[in-house]
Amino acid sequence: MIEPLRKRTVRRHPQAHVLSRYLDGELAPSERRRLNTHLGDCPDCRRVLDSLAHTRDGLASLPAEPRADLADSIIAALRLEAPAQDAVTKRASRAWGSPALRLVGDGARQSNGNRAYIGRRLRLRPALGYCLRRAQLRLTVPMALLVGSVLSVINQGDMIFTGRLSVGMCVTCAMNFLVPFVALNIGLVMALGVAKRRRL
Amino acid sequence: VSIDEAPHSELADLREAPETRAAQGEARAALEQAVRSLPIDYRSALVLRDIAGLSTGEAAEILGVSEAAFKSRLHRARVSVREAVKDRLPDEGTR
Repeated sequence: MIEPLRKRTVRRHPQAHVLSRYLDGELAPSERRRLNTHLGDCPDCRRVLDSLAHTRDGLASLPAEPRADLADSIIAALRLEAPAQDAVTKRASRAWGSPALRLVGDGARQSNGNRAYIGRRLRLRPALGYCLRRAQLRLTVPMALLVGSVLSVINQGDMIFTGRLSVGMCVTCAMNFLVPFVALNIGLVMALGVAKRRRL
Repeated sequence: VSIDEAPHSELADLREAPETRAAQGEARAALEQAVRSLPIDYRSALVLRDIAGLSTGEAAEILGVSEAAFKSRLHRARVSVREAVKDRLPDEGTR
């Protein structure tokens, strides 16, 4: 009666990421006790646990080479997101200045840069910074000019072509350009937010 | 520094079997390659925590995610790296 139960316990191997959490001491006491019992009976899981520990130790021993440029760009992006995070960014600066982080590579620059603009709570300044980036302006300005021109010709064309210009009409024309520009930027910022939520 | 003047530990290093050093270098290269192959979210988590040695809270804050989300990425990243390099780890079997 006891033997089949024991076998069933042994066969239910924990997932590898649970073993990783076990290594970091993140399991609840009851989970830890259950896993300890399982590990006592399961050489396979003990091997996986050992190899995870070797992997973690190996990662910790990777050599460090200074990559101050990478550190600077990431810290700049972090500051853009939250100037109040200075204490954290200083610690990050020391860390990124340390060698190991070269492994994050250029992808991190892009990723952290985007995070600066699409944090969970969208902040106005980072959003403005994002909208005023050259890459965004290359898209939004021509589109706003095109849409604004078409709207102006349709709505105020007769006044423009007959030379009946007035301050009110100029303001209306300016709005024809401004509204699509703002709408495009709002759309881009919202699209980034959606993209981030999908990644999480 | 000549061999005669070298400290004892350096001499020990010089005497280390070339095969051992080659295997260590190979394992380290495999580890780096495995880290580079990770998706950026996983890679950032792994590098900040396991390589740079930041705390979970600090690393999560830097990446702008909750600690729970950060831990999930970290452990999955570690498992991916382990999968990639497991054949080069000592006494590793398969499950």
